[in-house]
Amino acid sequence: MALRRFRTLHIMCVALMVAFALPSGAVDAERKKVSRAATKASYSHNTVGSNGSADGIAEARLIDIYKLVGRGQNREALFRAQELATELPHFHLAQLVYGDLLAAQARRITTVGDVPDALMRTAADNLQELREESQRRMRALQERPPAGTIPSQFLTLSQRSRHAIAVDASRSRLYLFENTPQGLVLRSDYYISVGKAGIAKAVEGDQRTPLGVYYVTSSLNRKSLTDFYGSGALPINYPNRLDVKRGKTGSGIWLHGTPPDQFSRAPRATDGCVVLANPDLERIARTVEVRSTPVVIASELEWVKPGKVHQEAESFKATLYAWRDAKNTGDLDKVLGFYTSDFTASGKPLKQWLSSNLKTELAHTQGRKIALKDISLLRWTDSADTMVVTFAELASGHAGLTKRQYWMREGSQWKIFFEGSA
Amino acid sequence: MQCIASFLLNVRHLLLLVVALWGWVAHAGEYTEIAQLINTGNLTQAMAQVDQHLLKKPKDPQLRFFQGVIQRNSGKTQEATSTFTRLIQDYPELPEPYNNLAVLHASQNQLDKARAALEMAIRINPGYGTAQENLGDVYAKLASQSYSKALQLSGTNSALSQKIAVLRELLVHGATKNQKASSNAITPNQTALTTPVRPAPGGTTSGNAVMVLPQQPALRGGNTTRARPNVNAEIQATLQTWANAWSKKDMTTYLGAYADNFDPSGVPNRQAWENEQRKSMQQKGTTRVQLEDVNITVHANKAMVKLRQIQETKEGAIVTSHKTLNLAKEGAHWRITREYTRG
Repeated sequence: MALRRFRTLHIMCVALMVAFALPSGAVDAERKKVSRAATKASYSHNTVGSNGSADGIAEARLIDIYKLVGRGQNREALFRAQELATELPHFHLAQLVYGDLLAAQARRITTVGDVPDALMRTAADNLQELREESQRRMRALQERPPAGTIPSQFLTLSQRSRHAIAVDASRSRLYLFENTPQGLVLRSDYYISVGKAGIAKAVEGDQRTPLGVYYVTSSLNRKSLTDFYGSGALPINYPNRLDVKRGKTGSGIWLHGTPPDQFSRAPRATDGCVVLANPDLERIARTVEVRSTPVVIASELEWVKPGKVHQEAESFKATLYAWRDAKNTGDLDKVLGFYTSDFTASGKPLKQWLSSNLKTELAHTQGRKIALKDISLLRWTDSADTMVVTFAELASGHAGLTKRQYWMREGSQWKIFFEGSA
Repeated sequence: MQCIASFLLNVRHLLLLVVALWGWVAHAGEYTEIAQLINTGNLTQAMAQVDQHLLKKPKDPQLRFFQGVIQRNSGKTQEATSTFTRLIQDYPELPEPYNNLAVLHASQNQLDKARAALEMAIRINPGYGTAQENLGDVYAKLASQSYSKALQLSGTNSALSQKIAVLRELLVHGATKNQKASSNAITPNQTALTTPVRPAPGGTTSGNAVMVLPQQPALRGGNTTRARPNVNAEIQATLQTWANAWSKKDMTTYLGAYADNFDPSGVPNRQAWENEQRKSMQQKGTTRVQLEDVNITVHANKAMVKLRQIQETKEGAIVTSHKTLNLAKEGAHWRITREYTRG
């Protein structure tokens, strides 16, 4: 019959990519799906979020549908797409794929979102965004970080930070790590949206997502937010001290969720915030600790073996210890040498700040040597080489102070351009 | 624009149907008048005639079919729906009432129901052209709805608010050239006819618009054709061999269960499909395949089987799927010509 000819669904790039390139172990253990029975079993591993879907599940189901299409199992794909679109009617990409699979029953489909012109009208942008979302999701699942690697910014992370986050804007992906005693372990990753105008935020209102090393400053409950932010928000400390030094403006950069009528947003959609689907945001908010969780946002992450950056970390620590030793001598000039000439804190020039600061600290420690513990080093390299250093400064018998220093490499020497409490 | 075109297409189909009908009714005059009355819109008269005939033959499916059509054309949607629904209950092997029920559902924008009914019609008769075309229309409309949701198009979009174009309805539930109208009407208790009288296996296209029915007696639930118990056993055995081969990863026997003209939907050719099957069997840790609720429908040398397939994997997962298999007899063996999963 004529109809049977049109049953073949050709989602060209998707089907090919899926059938031949998607490794079976693409996503983390919690989201491996072999069958619907297995699907049901693993749903129970995650606490069900407010949208009736645990973190990462919606995407995993979408990818399963793509895989079925790639294997020519169109009827099964259609059935699963119907299930997904019915459960998450506001997951627009799922609706698009479901539409394609329905249409494929009656005609040949040649692209993702093969929407008839008459229907599209003014929605061409929406369609393009959905296609991009689809491509980004696929790409992030195909191009996995090699096993045992971490983003190059994490030179060393103390156990005070139990988790860490890294965002790869080029992949529209957020990676969540647990900082185990053996080091950073990737636990899950999620599709995200960044600013409409892209990345490299510089000024207020530029609709860009900032790039750099940040920390989660607080966690906002959904009840205190409007619907627009979805399940909650995790503000980060943009502008950080490097941003301030560079004269960057703007504020209110958060990780947050999505409004009720939209499960996930286009790759570039926000005013600068990093946006996730609500179940994913909920998982992160439930997991990470405020103030001690670093958030690295890069245009593209470079993944390295921890051993590779170990040498760098040790070498930098030597410099840090030298600074500590200088402080322990109480010799102001010696300590001065570790700071940049344009160092300012609390509006005071360096020498003044240092002498009053040092005096206060010495009074506290009463001549006892300070020790540094729980050192975290996060390296950020763009037009300059910088290091965000966090540690606890202790003198025996006294409660320590958690400090954060921003260092910059001037020539071959590292120097501090900001110092404060964390 | 599209709507008018398809409407005209529908009218053309209907006319073809009527024309073919004249041809048919030359042989079976009884229902000619009723059909004519329906076509010319004399619904009250048509209904009167139907009622009269029903007194003599209260269970006649064709008369009941006419009833449903008349009710629908009179705008009595509820009654029409219930007429076709009851007809389906009594004669589940007839595809035409499903088609017309789908038309009713579609007219009320209940597209998922229309889809289900049409899929049923096609499952009963895979060569059923009209239902295939109608289903294509329903799918296209469902796709539009999904696309609209995906693109966040507002409800005032005219494509959405337009009701689906009227689906092709059937007037006659079908008969064959040599039949007198009532003598070979399908009744549940009739034993099989010895000679299949259909003009061609697999049903007809709209060119010859008389729809053709399977000649076997009505099949219910899990019952198989009473007249041919051996065929049933043969098919059961074939499927069991297939399932066993699958469980034991015996590729030769497994692939041997498939006909040469097996339709590997979506895969370009037989070789590619076989490679896929090999890979799939190696990769998946299926340890056992069981078949349950096997429901066999036989037409001459073709069969359609609906069953529940239960796979156990070595990780201990159980995968249940509802499968439909079409088989054909090649020489002494039944082989699988189509296989798909539903639900």
